[in-house]
Amino acid sequence: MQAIKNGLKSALRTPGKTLLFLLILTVTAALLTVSCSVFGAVRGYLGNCEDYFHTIAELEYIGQYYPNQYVYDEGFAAAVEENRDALSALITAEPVLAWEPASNELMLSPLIHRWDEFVPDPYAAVLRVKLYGYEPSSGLYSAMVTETLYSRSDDTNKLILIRGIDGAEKLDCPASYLVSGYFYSNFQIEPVSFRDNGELIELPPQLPEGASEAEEAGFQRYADALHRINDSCRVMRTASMEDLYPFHQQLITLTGGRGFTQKEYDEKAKVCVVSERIAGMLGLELGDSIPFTLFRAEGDLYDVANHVQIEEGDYKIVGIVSHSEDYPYCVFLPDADVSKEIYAVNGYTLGQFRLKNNAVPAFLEAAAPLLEHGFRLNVYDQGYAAATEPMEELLFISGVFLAVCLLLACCALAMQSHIFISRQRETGRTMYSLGSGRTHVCVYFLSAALALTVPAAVFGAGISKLTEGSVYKVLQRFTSQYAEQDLRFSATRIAVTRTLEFNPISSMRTYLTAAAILVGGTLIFTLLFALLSLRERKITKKKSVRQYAPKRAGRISRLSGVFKYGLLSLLRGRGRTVAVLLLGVAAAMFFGHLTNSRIGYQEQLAAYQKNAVITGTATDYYAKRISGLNVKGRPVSLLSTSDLLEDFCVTTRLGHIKFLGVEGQEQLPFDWPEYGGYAYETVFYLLSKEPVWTGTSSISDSPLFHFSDGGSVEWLDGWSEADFIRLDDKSFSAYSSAWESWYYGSYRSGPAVCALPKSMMEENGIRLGDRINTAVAYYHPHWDFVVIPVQLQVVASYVAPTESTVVFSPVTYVRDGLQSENLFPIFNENDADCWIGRDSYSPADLAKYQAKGLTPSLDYSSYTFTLKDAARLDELRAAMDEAGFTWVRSGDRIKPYAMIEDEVYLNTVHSMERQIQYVSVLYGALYLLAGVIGFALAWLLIQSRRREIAVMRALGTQHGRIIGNFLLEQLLLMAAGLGIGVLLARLTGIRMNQTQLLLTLAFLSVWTVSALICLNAGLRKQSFAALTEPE
Amino acid sequence: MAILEVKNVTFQYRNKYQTVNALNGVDCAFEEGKLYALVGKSGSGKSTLLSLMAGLMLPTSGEICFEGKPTSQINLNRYRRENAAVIYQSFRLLPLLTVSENVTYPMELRGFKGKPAREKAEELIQRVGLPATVLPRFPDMLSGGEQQRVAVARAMSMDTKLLLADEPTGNLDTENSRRIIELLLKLAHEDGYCVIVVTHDLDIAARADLVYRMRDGKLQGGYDDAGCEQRA
Repeated sequence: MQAIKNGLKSALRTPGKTLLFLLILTVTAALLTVSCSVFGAVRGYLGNCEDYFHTIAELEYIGQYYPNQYVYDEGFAAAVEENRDALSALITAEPVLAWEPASNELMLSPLIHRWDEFVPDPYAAVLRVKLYGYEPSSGLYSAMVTETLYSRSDDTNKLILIRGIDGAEKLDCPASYLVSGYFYSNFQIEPVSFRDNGELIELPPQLPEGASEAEEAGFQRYADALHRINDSCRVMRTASMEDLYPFHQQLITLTGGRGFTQKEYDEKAKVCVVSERIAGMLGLELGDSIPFTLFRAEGDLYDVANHVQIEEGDYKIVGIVSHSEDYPYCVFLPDADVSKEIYAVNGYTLGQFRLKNNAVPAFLEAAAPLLEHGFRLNVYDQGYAAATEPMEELLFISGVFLAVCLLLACCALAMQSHIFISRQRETGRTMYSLGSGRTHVCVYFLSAALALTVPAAVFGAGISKLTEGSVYKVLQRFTSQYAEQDLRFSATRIAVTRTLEFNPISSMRTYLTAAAILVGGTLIFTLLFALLSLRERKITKKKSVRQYAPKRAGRISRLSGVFKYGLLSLLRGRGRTVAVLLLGVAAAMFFGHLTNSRIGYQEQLAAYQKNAVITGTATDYYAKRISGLNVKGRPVSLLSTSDLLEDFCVTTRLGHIKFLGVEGQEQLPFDWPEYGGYAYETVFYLLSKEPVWTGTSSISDSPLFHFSDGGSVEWLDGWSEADFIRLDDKSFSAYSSAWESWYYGSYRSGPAVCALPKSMMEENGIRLGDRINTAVAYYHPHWDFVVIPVQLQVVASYVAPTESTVVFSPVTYVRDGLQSENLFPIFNENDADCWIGRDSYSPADLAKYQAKGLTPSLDYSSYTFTLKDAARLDELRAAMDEAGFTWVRSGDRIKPYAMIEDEVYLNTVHSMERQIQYVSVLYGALYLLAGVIGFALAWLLIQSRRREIAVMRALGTQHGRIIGNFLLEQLLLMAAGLGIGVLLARLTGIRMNQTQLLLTLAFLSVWTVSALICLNAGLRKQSFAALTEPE
Repeated sequence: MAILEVKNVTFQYRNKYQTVNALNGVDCAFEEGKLYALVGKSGSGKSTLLSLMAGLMLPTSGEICFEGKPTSQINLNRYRRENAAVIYQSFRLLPLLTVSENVTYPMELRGFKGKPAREKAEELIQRVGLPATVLPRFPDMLSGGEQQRVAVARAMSMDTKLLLADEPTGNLDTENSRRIIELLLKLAHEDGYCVIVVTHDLDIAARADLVYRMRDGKLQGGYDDAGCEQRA
């Protein structure tokens, strides 16, 4: 107790030193606490991010029908089979938390009758009709519908025109029939064959009245099948509804009721969440039950043979989700054990993964082999990466800062303990010699040390508490800097759907940790030095300034003048001179290295920006379906004429194409029909099942190649893609010829060209250079559709990254505007637009179409482009925004109307910018530190020569002369050192730069100013004390 | 005729705890051609008085007059340069200058430089009993006695009438002390310097022309070292 009392007294009896140390320790404590606090806050934020954000990845297959999600792609199924093992491995990979396959379940409710545009077979119908008359010239029967077994509209008691099957037995008239077929401009009877529960059922074209019940039952089953195909709703069975893509990306949200409880998931409860449209159509509300039957479609969803009924019953509605164009009729069911199987379904989405947020790179690495087989992953992290990337870097920086503060604290505590105990050594020794034990002496020292440390820790914590709000604000501003980036149109950043504010709350633990470090450090260092002080030590000779004096006799200098002393001192300073020179060299090289390093970063960034290739895509596929998107002008056209872009490629689906054989070996499956007749429609229908005929201005830039790596194009000798792209005139001639041939019933030679998949060429025995005769069908805004024979020369064969049957022909895109008459003059100018891409409607053109009562085509075009200068990315965004593009997700899986694939670019640039920021701050601190060190060393150097100064003064040397000599010496020495440093830096490959020179000059100035200040202090009256000080 | 007069000089300095009256109404006078010894116990104020006479400080009150002019009215730098040469116990040679340069340094301050200065330095070095071979050496390479003789030579090079020495033999052995005492006596008696020595050395006190004893900041007249006999 006595020792503690004495220790406290000793602290109080040296108030000056106590206050000084208190100040140092308080600042140290404050720094330590703030750094602990920031480090803890950033770590806490990152921890919160793990819970707050959910990352999912959708696995897609980019097949020939991409992005049509209503077509069953056999290539997709084949790819799944081929890669089943890899897929199985992926869904059990370590980064994967859950796998939910795309839905293959249909829900059928007798009460639901779909009217949306996604109904797969909207024109099919099964009717009981009564024929009244026959018109031989048109071949049409007039009939009354007496019963609608299946049709999208209730046609009962309506008069329709019916066309019988060509060559079929003439129908009795008047008579009643059960017929199946399609509504075109009239009702076309067609023979039907379909699979039902594994049985192939072939129905007669029409069934006369009086047929057996069994015969009629076939029609009824077909009607039921159509009902199931057309009116069923997509069921999404899920183990975590909130993580399903549409919820995750907030395409749909709960507008009423609730989601599923865990119990409902676990028990697969008979509850459901339905879309507003379903609820509205059925007049159901929350709590009502909805009766339905569930089918599982193995394979093609729209092949009823594949439908297997799996469940039937009433499901209670617990939630209603908002209406979405994409999800008009959807039902969500809880199922904790949702199927883990892998199967291809209609469309192209295989399913979705729920990932560990921080394991996306590992997951992508694991998935890499799959991506070479036509699969693509879309990762949606809700903004996790955007939120955490800067914070992770900040965590590192704050960790370094914390380490520095810890080091600083250690140094401060060690210094304080050492100085305190040095000054009190005699006291301690006396106490020890008087019989106090080591413990007693140590307690004395510890008490005195803690008397400083504890208040310092308290004050430091207080300062930290007062300042941490400002620190957090700075950090908030820093972190929000990247969240506020203009990310319109970005490929993946658009998926930022949630933001977690960095809003840390200081915790008591932080303060306690910092206090514990301080107190612990004090105890350790004080104890250490206290014990050391009690040890017997040998007295060692003190080093004096004399060690710098020359060891050999010199020459008597013949120098004279006021600066003689400075120059001699400079020349004879030996160790000191060398030390200052080396310091100068080190400082200059240090500045050179750091400034070059920063410049290097900036150059890297500039070079990256210069060389970065940013591509983009635009599509009008859904733009046309979503009202309001294409009424702002001709955005794609504007985009194509933008100076910001190059390599603009338009790819548009022209229609379908059928090979009729190599020239001279045509195998016509039908006679060319006249336009508008039934046969014409039939031909069109048949052709629509044929491969897609696509116009592009660049095969290698078309979406087929654009979305995946790999693939190759082989050109006919003398041809290249450039020729292909420039073929506008030739192509036009060819198409023109084809058009004429339609009238003449024969093909005429023309230079129209095409590129075919290699597999297709091998299958059809086609070689490069062959001229092939084809029949093409395409939608036309004026005539609905057009069928024409076209002769094409095969100038290229290609192997696409994914299986494809697309036939490419050149379609010119005129960058300086639409010059349709030059492209396809056989049509009038209004018609020509359809060949260019369906987005190309100016307001005036649009008005013309509307005046004619026409709707612009819904056909699908894609555009790819490259940004000329990556650094002008923001300009492009602004231009796209102004041109009427939207970044609002607007459709199916091609989400944005226009999309810039700049994720890698932005990530890289942002990361590099942040690095430059960090480096700037760090280097700034290092420059400051170098300045402080320079100041201190210059001070110490002059301080160590105070006796010389005193002697010179005692000898009557004028102040100016003393200052001049010492300053000259220091200035020359440091300038020489810095100069050598700059030269050495240059010789070692560090480029000289302006900042380095400025910093070098600044260092020289600091050095000189410090020397001057110290000299000034040395010229005070008290400085004579040095004359009488012992050596 | 007194060259240096100390008139009712007091000097106070403050530390953080107290104000100390280092000199308390000191009166004395010094003439050319004599060696004076200032003796007294540690803390009696003798070194303070020497510093005031050397022009390193100004008295708190009273006056120190050199050739009738108070030091408070003259440029102290110039006074030190031209009128008061000081020899220190620890020699205080400039370590980076050779012996020759140390000796010529005060001369150069007064504009006397080049070959004549170097020749005079050589002469002075020889006068203090050192060989010319020490001229190019640095102080660190000399013994204590040699360094102190160089310090004397440097003082002589200042060509002043007043030579102040603060414990000049304090760091020297007996033989070297004797040599320095001889040198100082010679300077006083043969060269006509007014030599004032602050010392504890009984030999110096015994051979001084006048001994001033300091006690508690006051001067107690001129007594010889043996016991109160005034020789003046």
